[in-house]
Amino acid sequence: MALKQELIDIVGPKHVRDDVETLEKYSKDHSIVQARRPSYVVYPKNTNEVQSLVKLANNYKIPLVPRSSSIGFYGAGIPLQGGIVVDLTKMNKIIEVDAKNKKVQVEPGVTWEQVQTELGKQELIVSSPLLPHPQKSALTSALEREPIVIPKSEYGETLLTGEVVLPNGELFWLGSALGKGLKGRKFPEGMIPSTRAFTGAQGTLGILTWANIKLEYSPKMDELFFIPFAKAEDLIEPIYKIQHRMLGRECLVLNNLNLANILCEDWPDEFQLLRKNLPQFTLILCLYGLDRRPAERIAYEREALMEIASELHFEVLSSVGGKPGIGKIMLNKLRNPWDKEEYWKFRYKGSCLDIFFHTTLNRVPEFRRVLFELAAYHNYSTQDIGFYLQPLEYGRACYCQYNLYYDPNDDIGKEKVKNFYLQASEEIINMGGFFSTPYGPWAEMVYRRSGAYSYVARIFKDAVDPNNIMNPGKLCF
Amino acid sequence: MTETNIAEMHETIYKGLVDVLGAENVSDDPAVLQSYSRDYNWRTVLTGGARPEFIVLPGSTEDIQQIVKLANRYKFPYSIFGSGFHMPLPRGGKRYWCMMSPQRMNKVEIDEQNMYAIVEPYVTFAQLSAEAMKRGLHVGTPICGSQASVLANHLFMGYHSTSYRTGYSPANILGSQWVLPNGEILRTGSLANPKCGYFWGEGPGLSLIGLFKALAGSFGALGTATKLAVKLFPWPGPQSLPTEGITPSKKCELSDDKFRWYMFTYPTLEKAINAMYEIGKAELGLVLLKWPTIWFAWYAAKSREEYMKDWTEEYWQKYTKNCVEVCISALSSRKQMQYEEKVLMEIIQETGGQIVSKDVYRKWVPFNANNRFRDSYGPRFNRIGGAFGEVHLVWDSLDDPLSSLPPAFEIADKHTPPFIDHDNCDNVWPVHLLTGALSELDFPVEKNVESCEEQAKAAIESVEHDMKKGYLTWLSITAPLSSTGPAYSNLHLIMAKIKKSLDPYNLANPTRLIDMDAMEKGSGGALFH
Amino acid sequence: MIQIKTKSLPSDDYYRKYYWDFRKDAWNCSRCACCKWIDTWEVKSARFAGTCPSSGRYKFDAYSCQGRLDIALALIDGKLSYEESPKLLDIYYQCDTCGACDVSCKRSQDLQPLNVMLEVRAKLVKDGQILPAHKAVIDGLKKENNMLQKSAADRGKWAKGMNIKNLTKEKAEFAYHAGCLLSFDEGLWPVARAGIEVLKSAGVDIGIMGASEMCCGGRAYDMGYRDEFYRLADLNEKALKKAGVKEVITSCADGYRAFKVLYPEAGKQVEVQHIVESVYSLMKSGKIKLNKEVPLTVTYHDPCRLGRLSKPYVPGEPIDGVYEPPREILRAIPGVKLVEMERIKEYAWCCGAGGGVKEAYPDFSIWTASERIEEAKATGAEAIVTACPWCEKNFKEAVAQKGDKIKVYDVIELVKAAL
Repeated sequence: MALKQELIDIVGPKHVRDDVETLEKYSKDHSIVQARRPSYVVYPKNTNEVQSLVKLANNYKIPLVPRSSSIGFYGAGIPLQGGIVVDLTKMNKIIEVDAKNKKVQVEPGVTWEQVQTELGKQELIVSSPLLPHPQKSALTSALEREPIVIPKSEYGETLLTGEVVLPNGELFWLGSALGKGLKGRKFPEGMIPSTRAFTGAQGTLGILTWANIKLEYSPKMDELFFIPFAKAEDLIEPIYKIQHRMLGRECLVLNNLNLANILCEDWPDEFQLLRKNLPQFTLILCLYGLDRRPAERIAYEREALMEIASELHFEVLSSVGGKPGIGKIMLNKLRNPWDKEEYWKFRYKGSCLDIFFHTTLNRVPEFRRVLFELAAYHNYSTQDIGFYLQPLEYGRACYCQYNLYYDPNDDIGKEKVKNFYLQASEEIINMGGFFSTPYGPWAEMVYRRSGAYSYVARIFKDAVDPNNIMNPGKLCF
Repeated sequence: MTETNIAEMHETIYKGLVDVLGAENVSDDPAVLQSYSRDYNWRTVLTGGARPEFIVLPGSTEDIQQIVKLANRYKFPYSIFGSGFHMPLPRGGKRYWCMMSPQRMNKVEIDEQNMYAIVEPYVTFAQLSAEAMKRGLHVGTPICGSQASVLANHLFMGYHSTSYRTGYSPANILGSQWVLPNGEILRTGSLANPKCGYFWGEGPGLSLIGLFKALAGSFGALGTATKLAVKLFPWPGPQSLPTEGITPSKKCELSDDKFRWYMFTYPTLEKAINAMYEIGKAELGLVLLKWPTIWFAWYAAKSREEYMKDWTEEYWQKYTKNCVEVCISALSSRKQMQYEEKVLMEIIQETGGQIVSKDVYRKWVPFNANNRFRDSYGPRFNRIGGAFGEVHLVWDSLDDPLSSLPPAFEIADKHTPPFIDHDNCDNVWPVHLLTGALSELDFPVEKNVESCEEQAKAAIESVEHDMKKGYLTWLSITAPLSSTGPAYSNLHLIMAKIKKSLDPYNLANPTRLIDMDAMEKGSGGALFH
Repeated sequence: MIQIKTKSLPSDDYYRKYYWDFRKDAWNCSRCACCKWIDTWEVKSARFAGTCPSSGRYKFDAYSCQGRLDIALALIDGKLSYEESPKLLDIYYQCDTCGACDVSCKRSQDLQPLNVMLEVRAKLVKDGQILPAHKAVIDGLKKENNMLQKSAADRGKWAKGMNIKNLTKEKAEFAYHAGCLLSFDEGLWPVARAGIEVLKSAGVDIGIMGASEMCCGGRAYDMGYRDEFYRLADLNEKALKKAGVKEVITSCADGYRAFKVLYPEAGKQVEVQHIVESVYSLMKSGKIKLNKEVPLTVTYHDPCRLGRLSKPYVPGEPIDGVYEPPREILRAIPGVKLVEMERIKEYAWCCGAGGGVKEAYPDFSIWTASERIEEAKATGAEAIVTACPWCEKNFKEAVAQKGDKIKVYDVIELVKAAL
């Protein structure tokens, strides 16, 4: 009880919860990670409160688990060893928008919906992952290196600088923010350990209390194309060619299941129709123009695209699937978070397990083959597998996501999917698929194979978290 | 320890190294050691340099592992370098220093389709660029010259002349392999999974490469990199650079239908920066730089006399003050060039830019501009006085130089003479399509003790100023963390723990990243050795 | 913005207007590493990017120009002594003195690192630090005025049966200087003989000194034996003056550079042209007509002393040499297809024979030549063609050792075949 009082002293009575309903809610998310309950959930409002919480946790040697979003998909926010969940959603200020220097300073509780709405007023946009949940923290997406739908940049991450409360309670700044004197404070590199070292850490290295995220100027003009393919093998060369010539902005591939899921307004009838009419795979590419002569820019890129299409014999269409206005609809979806109440991944069957990894484009077909073989083995219909392929950095690599849809109320089905998911993940790793962000059960699979990586990671962790209080049990900690 | 003990230990270590590497790959001959005792740096002028005690030529990661394990057995310090422009010279009065000379580790492999190269420490930018260009790719080039080591440059600093497009080096590192100070092998990025290869740099989980490299690297003090994958980028140019003429009067001109250069000046730095903002906003160009007049002068001059003549007649000062340089290229198509040229001209006009005369253009572009793609003349900066000084090198927003440069000018001005005239050297180099920019103030220094002592004073003043104001600059981040850490969130305490865990005997390039001896005594240690 | 009020320039004149100063040149080496690589703009592959055979073979930086400058500085400043370094002589003599490092350095600096290294060699010799292999050669030179330890009396035998003027008895406009190697290496006599035949066919008034011909002294200079060089320079100047020739024509790049560059520095005057210059000029004036087909794909190797070392250094001026005439000659021969190696002209890789290396480190010499042969083979050429007997000999030995099929010629041999 002394602990509870101390928590109340820090954040105030209204911002400490330990009722069963709340604790249950924070014990799980949409992943298969085993549910574990925290002892408390606290809602700090500023950096001072966060710092005090961290110092308190060190005194008590009690775990802290930071969460910036009210929804979780991969288990990172589940308190594996109990402790205190630090819900940062109340720290939700957009502190500063600096259009000139292409950055927006946000607190961790700022959601995608919030930031895109605010920036949209100034014709600005943060490059986002594919259809993030509207309540997902934009800062967390950047911190966890979620791939964005725009492969035209040579720097996948959008996280620039930030302020971290280290697990030892000290304040630290990332990138050039470590030097406080300059007004910019936005360069993503500073002294070692760099910003990079803190990314993908699933909250084990500290609590980010604000970050500068890179924003872009909204295009003035767009032209969206749909390029249909029947086979996965046929996608590869066109993507390489398009990306190596640096054409376009948004560029991604969705299979008919996912695309129908995303586009469908009238569930379920329209969904079935779209699924039937859409090509097996659609490469979606958006050409764009900025402030200056946008139409001319689009024109030369379109011409280059048509050259490639002619050379490789693929079609370039303004519409697919027979859906009117699909271009505009898709464009809107690519530049905004999901806009319906039920998240798109839960529409089809109620829930979904995602397998995602990085590889090179030329290897995509072989991973697909193996996954489908395993699906057959586990009696899981390949028709129920969603596919999303995100080229990265001008085609240098790609992010491959397979969505295993399932009914959460069907226990047998759920178990089947879980087994399929686990075996497929092992197999993908064995084949050389790279799990850059090893959530949940992937952590053991990845770090078991990573040699001295976990040894050095633990040394870093020990240096900043000697009492191992920050989200223990995640990654290799 | 007596002289006899020292001699015996020397012999023991020497024999151990010979057993591991073979006699032809080990030397303790004083003449051989002498050739590793100094570098270009003003610090070396003041200290007189320092000979290591052993030079070894490892041929592989496994060789380095064995050397490191031997070092742990006999507790001798070791270091490694790239091309040797910056030498990890023995410091702190430590004996038995073993320096690894990387000449035998010179393999390069390119994955053309997925645009990356895997390099060992002794592969130069020129070599990689040549192999990449044959395959329609290119690699950024540093302004110290393309004879620099790709691996070392990416891990040390790594600003490249195309960084506006190709980014600053930490963003260009993919998988990497290191020998830790305990002799174990660390693999980062996708390489951490044995089957994945080198193609991706982040993770798994937290990106440990961020522990070894940020703005600057870790100077080999946390581990020795033996293989690095670096990004390559699409190259619309020819398979080899077309040249004309004979050294030092060479031309290198790329075809006008694929590459075009533009140089235009402004009355003030602020206006030049504003123009760069507009160019970046419009996403034009493959190269965008704002060079100071002295850089034009020392790149262009083919001799000291030519430099002196042009400088004292103020040629470059007159014609390239606040000069913005842009190269547009046919990355997507030739029509892209037509579009970009149109838009660029609009921007130049709107922002009040003055395109340089044909004479200035002809004096510069055919002979120098393509150094941006493969730098051949970077080392010319040492011609004017024999040495090179700096007081300012900051990465942040593109407009930060407007506030961060003036204090640097004051410091440099205070020490001029003996610093050599630099006409307010104000380099502004954007990174990542304006994610940020590097601004730099450097100048020639006469390579004598008096001038270098002055440089030392200026460097200390600069670092103290940086720490007080909270600037994060090259000098402050490359000085030992034991001295500067207190001004930057006590970073030195974190790094000391990491260093202690990874390198309990303090053998890997000791004192350079952090002076552990000083930390143990409770002092910060010297700012510069 | 703060303006610098005074123009602050270097106090030492050395930085304002370059002059030769041994210590200052060594001091101002900035360790940029350019000396290990060819001009980076010219690099066309990772394989053929190196420029220094010595550092390429022996790896340690001591064997590079930069390393030797560090050592030179330490010797001057008393930080290193001969006694403490068993490797010192090897370090300094395992170098062809080809000047490739010097050219690379001059791309961005106004230094003369080759001169520094040659000065150190002269000092080593003066201080009695002698390589036994060189001693034997120099002893022979002192006795017989040639570098091959052969009898002076046999020097003119290569010309036996040829109707050539003897300049000790007759007058001619030009003196053909065969050089030591062509004079005594029977395998290379066809080159000297072809040279005479080609010149005579074009009506050139040529004679030879025969057994009275003496070594130019160039190789002795490079090995550090300055006294021997000055002695021979003096003798040669006198002999050629006495012979009354207008100019010397030579097939030997060593001789060419000695007469052209080293002699004036020693205060001696001998006008010289290389035979490829002569042939080129005769071709242009129509006195040589290349009519016969010689179907051969060739690549041309630039000898160092005919190329980058063939002119005195002027800061800022191109490191020019006789690059185009031999190429023009080859292009003019019907049936010959000229393909270029990656390292050519002022940044050509050395053949390995110069600087006393052939005499003292034959393995290293052949290794260097083998590297060049690999580069030649990579072009697809059937033959490597050069304009120096030392290069030719070394390439032939390297080819024989490896059992390669590529042929080795002198330019003049192809010219003769095309007449």
